[in-house]
Amino acid sequence: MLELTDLSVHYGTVAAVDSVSVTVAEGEIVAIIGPNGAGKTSTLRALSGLVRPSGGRVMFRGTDISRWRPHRIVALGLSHAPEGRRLFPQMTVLENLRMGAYRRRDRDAVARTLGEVLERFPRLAERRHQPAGTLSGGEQQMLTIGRALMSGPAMLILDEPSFGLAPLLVREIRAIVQSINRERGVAVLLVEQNARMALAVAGRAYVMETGRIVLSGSAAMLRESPHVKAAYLGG
Amino acid sequence: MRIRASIAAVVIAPLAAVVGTVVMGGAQDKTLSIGVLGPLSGGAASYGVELVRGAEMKADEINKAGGLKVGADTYRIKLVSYDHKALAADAATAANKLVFQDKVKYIIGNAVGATCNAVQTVTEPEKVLFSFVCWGTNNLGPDKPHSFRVMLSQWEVAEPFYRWVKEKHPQIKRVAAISPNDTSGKDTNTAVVKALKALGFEVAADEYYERGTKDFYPILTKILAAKPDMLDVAAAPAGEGGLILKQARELGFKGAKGWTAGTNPFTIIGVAGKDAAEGVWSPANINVRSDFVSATVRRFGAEYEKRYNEVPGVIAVANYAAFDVITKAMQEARSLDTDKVLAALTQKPFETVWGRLVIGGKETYGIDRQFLYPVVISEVRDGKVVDIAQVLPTALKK
Amino acid sequence: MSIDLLVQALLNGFGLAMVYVLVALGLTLIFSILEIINFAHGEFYMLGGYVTYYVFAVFGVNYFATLGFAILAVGLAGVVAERLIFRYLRGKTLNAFIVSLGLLWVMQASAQLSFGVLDKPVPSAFSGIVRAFGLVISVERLVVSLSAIVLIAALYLFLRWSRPGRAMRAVAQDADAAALQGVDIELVSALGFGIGCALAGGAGGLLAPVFAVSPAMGALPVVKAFIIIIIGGMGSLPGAVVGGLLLGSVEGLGSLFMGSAAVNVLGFLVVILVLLVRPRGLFGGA
Repeated sequence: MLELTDLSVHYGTVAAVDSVSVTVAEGEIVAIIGPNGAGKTSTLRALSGLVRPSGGRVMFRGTDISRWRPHRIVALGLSHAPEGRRLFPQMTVLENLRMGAYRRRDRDAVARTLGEVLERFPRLAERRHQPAGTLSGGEQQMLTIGRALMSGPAMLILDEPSFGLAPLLVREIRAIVQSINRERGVAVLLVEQNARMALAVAGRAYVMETGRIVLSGSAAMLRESPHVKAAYLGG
Repeated sequence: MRIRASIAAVVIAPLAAVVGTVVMGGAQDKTLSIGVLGPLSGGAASYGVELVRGAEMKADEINKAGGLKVGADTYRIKLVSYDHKALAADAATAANKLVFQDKVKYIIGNAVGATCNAVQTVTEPEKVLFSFVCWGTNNLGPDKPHSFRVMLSQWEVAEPFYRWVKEKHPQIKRVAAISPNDTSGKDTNTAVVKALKALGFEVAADEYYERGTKDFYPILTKILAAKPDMLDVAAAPAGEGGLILKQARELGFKGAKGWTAGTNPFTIIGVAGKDAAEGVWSPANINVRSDFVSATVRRFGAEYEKRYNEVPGVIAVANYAAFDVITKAMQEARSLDTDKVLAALTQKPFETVWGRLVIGGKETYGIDRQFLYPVVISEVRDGKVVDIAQVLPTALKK
Repeated sequence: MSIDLLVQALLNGFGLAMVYVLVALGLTLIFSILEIINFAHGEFYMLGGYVTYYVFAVFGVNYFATLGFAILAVGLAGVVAERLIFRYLRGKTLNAFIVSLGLLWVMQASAQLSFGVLDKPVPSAFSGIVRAFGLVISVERLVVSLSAIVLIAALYLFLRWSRPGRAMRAVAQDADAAALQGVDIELVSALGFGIGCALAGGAGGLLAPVFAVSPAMGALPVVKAFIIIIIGGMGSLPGAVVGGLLLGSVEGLGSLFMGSAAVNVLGFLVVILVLLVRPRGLFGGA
């Protein structure tokens, strides 16, 4: 469904992403783990069109989207919940969710999706008229995911959904990601520093360090890898 | 040796050529170069253009009549003019060029106050006779004996103008004056206030605004609260003066209106609109087509219009008259020496396009260097400028 | 000093405040979407003035039709400027400062060459004055003020309820996040810049008959707009309205007690006071 081939991203002369190849199949959850500054977020920004790749190719649902601008990629069914939540703080919860459906013209369908999202996130339903900037960290993360679902995506990109959250909330997010994947068949590409959480939820995973993929395989296999154990799972 | 000789040849040949032409020219007719300065581009360009045209008219007249006879010699007049863009620095440069490069002993014509001061730093030490239409008290004085103002300024105009107001419109008791907040504005308001007090008017307001102001409601509200019978937009240029009149009318002002320093009432009608400009008196204007001016002025106006396709303003007339007066003084003095011409200038009245012209002003400036001539007061009537009276500056009456 | 005079002074201050608010809103809209300060904003105001001069004063078209045309024409000019110049400067505040300053000179010089340096008077579209309770206001200023209020309300409704309006607010709050929701940033940038310029053009059209037009006419409203924005808070529509009313009343009342030079300083004094108490302006968010 998604196929990155030799993707590179340069900021000036510095390569942030260096010939990275990643695939995600229909209905799959795939994780990219790695330390801060490994180029994970840059990879995601390149594939959703926020930065232009300096080399390589991004194929999504059989279309080459390497040079596309973000709004067209969203329309194709790829929804990106960015790092740091990036909500519209002065808009209400409801307005934020409606922004997620910005490209959809079918009002009835949007209303249905909105109902589903509010059902999935009862806390957001309670606070629907509150400005997003006043929500707690966990609520903001839920709103970010909810907003990404509003476009009715075929694939979801989640960048550090567990960042800064208490363990209890991390577990909640994990459950939500799994249920979205299971119930709606939405493929998920998950980027995480929290390798334990990522490897628990994903079927396959890639390990990214200093702009390159250094290791990849099934989540079960990576959990046993001495390198992953030492570097990411705390021995 | 040979090299040195060839260099000498190269240097001497053109030199000889130059000397030769000068000598040959001298054998036939002498040339008298006269400088004209002014802003010829930019916002004040119309002043400079009028100065040059006024000068051209007189110079051509003299040259066509066979040149200027001064003593035994006859001179053809040659004008040298430079643009100083109304900037003091450019004016100093231009004056240096005229005096030291073109060897000019007479500069007849300059406008815009600050540039006059700049030119005087060059002309006074070199004893170059300098005449101008700049306003401001500090352009004339005993320390500047070679400088003349050839157009009436607010100091000469305000008093006869308000004397006329007092005689013809005795119901006007309280007058408000408003000017830009700079030297020329302060000078004008001071002159107006001095005249008002001397004539027994009440000064309802003596106000200043920043140049570039567009919304005069605040300052006018304050002025109109003092209930003036007459509003004088004293030194305001046409654009701002027009807005003041328009907005005063909007705020309910129905009294008389004056523009002591207004040189061209046509311009203010455009900005203020016909209704708000109705009845504005301006005493510094000249209308070359009116019955109040002499036949000579009307003839000058007609020729000027034929030649430049424009109606001359007061500055063109003033510089034409200045050329006339100064060349006559050269003939009187039978010399081109500026000190001798200076003496001739201040000795007796001249008959000019203005009518009888006297050089006076000692009571204001401490030295007689101001051209004095009759003032024509015009009024805006139904969107047109009509001359309604002629009055004399106090010094001219004596 | 009578109460009448004080109220009249306040009225004077409010009279044109809403037009300056219009200029300020255009400036702040452009800032929030492109993260640049367009120093040539006043030149778009000037453009609106000249469109009004030619269409209304020279060709005699109906005043409100002229105003609508001025808004459209200047808005279009803004879109062109954005496509040719400002889209490359999004987020580059310093570069945009220099380039827009350059554009200011170019536009002023072009105006001087094509329209002449002298003030061009535009006849009043509405004559007459309204008197009530000892107060005076000209019909012209009343119409101008009301038109400005209508335009401000229209902008508010557009931003609040329309689809492109929502997109603009989203871009203002987080451009990348807006792009990820499917907002076409290029389109919003062009549209936002165009609307910002259109507001300036509308203001120029409104004030053309009040003040006459000239190539340098843009300087005054932009200075006022900056004061209003700083008082009200960058990017805030209610802030700009309150800032405009505050500046208007301070200037109106101040001119009763001091000369015009001091009144000009008064506006900056208010700015300093507001910044001391609330560094982001009265309505400035975090």
